[in-house]
Amino acid sequence: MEVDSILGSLSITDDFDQLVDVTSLFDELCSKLKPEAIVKDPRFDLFEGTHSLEVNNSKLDSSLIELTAEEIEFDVNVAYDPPLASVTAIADRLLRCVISWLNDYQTLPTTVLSCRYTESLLSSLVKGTTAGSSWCTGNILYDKVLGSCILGVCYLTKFVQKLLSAGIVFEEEDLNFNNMGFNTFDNLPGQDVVINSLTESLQILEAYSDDSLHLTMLKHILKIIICLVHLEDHLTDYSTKTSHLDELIENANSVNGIFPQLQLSPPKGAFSTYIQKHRSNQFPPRKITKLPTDYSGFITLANDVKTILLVDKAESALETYQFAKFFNKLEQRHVIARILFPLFFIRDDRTVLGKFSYTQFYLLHVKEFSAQTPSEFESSIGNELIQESSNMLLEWYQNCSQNTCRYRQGFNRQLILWDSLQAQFESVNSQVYCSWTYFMKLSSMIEFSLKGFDLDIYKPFEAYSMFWYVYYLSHHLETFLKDSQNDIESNINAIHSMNKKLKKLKAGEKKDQLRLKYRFAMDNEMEQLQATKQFLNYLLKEINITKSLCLIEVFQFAILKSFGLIDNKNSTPSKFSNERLIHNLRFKPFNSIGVPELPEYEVFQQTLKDFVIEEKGAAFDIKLERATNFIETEVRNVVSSIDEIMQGIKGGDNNGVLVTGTRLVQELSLEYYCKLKHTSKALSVNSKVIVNTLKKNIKNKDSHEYKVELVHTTEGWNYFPIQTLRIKQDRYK
Amino acid sequence: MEIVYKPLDIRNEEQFASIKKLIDADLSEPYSIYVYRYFLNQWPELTYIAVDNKSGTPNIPIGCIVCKMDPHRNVRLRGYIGMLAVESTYRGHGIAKKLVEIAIDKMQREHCDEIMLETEVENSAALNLYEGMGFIRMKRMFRYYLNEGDAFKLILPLTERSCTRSTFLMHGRLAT
Ligand SMILES: CC(C)(COP(=O)(O)OP(=O)(O)OC[C@H]1O[C@@H](n2cnc3c(N)ncnc32)[C@H](O)[C@@H]1OP(=O)(O)O)[C@@H](O)C(=O)NCCC(=O)NCCS
Repeated sequence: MEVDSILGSLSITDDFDQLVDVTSLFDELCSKLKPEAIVKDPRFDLFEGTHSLEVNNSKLDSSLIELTAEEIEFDVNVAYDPPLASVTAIADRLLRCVISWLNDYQTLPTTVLSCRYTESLLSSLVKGTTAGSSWCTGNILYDKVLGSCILGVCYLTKFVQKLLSAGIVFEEEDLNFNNMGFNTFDNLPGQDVVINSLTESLQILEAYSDDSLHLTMLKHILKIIICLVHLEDHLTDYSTKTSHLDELIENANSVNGIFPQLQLSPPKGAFSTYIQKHRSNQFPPRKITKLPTDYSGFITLANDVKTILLVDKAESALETYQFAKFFNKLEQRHVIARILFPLFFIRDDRTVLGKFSYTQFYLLHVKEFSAQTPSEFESSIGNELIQESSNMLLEWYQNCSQNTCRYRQGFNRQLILWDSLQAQFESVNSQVYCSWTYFMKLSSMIEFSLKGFDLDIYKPFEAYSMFWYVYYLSHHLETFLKDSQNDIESNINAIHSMNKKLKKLKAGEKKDQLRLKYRFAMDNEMEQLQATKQFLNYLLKEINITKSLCLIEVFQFAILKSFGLIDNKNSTPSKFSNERLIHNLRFKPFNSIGVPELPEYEVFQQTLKDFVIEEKGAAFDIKLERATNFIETEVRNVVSSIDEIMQGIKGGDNNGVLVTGTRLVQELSLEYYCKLKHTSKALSVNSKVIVNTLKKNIKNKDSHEYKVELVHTTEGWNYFPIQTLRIKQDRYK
Repeated sequence: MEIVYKPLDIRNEEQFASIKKLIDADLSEPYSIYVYRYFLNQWPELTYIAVDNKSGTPNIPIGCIVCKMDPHRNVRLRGYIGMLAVESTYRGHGIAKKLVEIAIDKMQREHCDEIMLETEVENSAALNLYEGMGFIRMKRMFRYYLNEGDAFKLILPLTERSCTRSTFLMHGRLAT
């Protein structure tokens, strides 16, 4: 009926005599069409169509969603009984929806927007809306208290929309914001109005004499929402105050304590897929997934935001650098914290933390790394190159807060950019800049390569090439750092020798001049030189650890290959490709890098051959023992280096030997080194397991019984998986 | 069982529908008709089906592979495996492997430089199948939505062009 009348209104004319019958023409054209032809506007690319929905396909057409009677009849203007328990249950469920959306990566329509009150408020928002709900039940708990909860959650949603629009993270990957056609978020009242409304609701509840758990719970919920509304302060005012975050944690903990004693069931139909069916929806229908059963997600959120705010306390470039390296390393931070970090750090006023211009910040890095004041060189290089480098550095910082997969991809991009910057600095002969850029490039190459193990990018057969290559890169980085350290050392010695010379010189103008020079150097340069020297000490220890762990992995691979268990190529040759091509594809990210040059395929083959034990009988055993002894020595070295670093961290960089710059991420960095230590020990155990197992079974020589897997241990560090022996299982058995 | 492999007959609407049905069965969220039209009508020669001549329905495919082929950033010709499915009762007999081989062989003859595809991290059958043929994982994609899980992008290199970053191939653009 309705459809007929709508279609009727589309009719062009009532005068049918004017119309021409094109049926025969149509039939004729159709008969000439090939069956495979698609009739479409030439401007319409079929690819665009791949994103379209399909009417009448229940998996793609959300208008076919079937709702229950309660869902259809649900009315926001009814005060469902009993009001206090119901309102508490609705508000609670809404908060768990927020967690599901932000912590568990669910969509907006299946979480926050699945709440009929949220939908109702957003539909009614017009410009200049003041606090107050869009429904009227006559019950203050619904109309006022629940109203302010919904308002607060919508306010948070709007803030998240703003965060997403900053373009830091990717929609549909890190955060979903399918707003179901609501463009009304901008019509929400200001923060003060929202907070007032929530505070008034709290006062209403205070007046209740009821001492039920529901009331306690509802008060916590209101306090939590107030904290969530305050999240934006970290961006609007760059506030570093953590009181709201602490309150959030406190209240979430309290609620977690109450949960087991409470039965919460919102009125039927208050949360549903209704919105997907009734509003403009460009996505297929989605079921509402299970919600988290407590508020721990808010605790994660608060703690992660607290963590990123710590960067404000950084006192040197070294500290910001180490902060960025560690804050998101061990586990992926909450998406809000990951977006906030770059926005809080790299500010709208084109400063870093409100303290440095971008170039100043960049120059600070170069200075602390080289112990030379780079401004002297600036003019000779040209602003553009400095600017480009500054941007590159900021990109590096931003990349540190990406999700774990994007993080690796970011380095893939950076490699060539660092490489090109380095070449540009080289061409203008600016050693100091060049060195720092080289350091960043090599570190990025190593990080990119090893991160692949964490993400399970490599197959066991690739472990050799990857570890050997990182070993090769580490070797280059080590040599470079040693050279840098020697430079620093000779600068320090030059200053000390001034003092010796002073003692020998007779009083006079020459002596006075030298004294001035010496004083100047002692007052202005010595401190930085010492700090840099100690930081390089730390970097050297660290690269040594990486190098040794790679070497251990390389040796284990070689041992496994010596027993015929693995090779650095697929077990069955490819019909369409070959080993060299596959190898070259793996090393594609590096093949354009100038220095260090990517070794040829043959070099990889040859080095592996050198590691493998080809001897037979007793000679095999002797070499095997040598290899395992070597692994043991390396493990001991690694563990002692890790211990030294950990001591340095624990002692707050005060031991006069190492500067780690980890003051702001002390716990995180210690945890990281603990994991690394655990991995070293696991590698040592693995050597013994491999050798013992294979020696026992070598007599029947059935190496085909085993295969090698790259295994991540829970306590270890995933960049160095354990090449583990596993008995083959036939999946068809 | 007598499995026969053949190219798609794009004029056969019934075949089109049965391919869609076969593939939809393995997807939590089906492709719209446009997705099938996009692949099958534009690259009909890159879709192959497997039928069982000994079954009661020798016209209904029990396996199929759907591919496309186009220039990637204008510097290399990239083959792409969009869909692959074998009906569950026919799995484990090497049918998928054969379909993939036929398709890659065709794309290699059409001068593709590489073959690309995406598959979920949890899909060990697909990973084993492709990796056994020389595909390697190039990157991992973070995709937690709808509990879909992460995915890997896999590539099989066919020529040296596949092994150089596209930025550095720009001066040797493809003649298209
Ligand atoms: C993946 C799929 C197409 C495999 O079809 P199939 O005909 O059973 O596969 P084959 O018999 O040709 O197997 C070839 C190789 O794949 C791997 N493989 C197939 N099924 C496997 C399983 N269940 N577990 C582990 N490996 C498996 C094996 O390496 C096998 O070689 P092998 O038998 O020599 O060990 C099939 O399982 C399927 O349709 N799955 C659902 C759709 C899908 O996931 N498509 C791929 C999306 S990209």
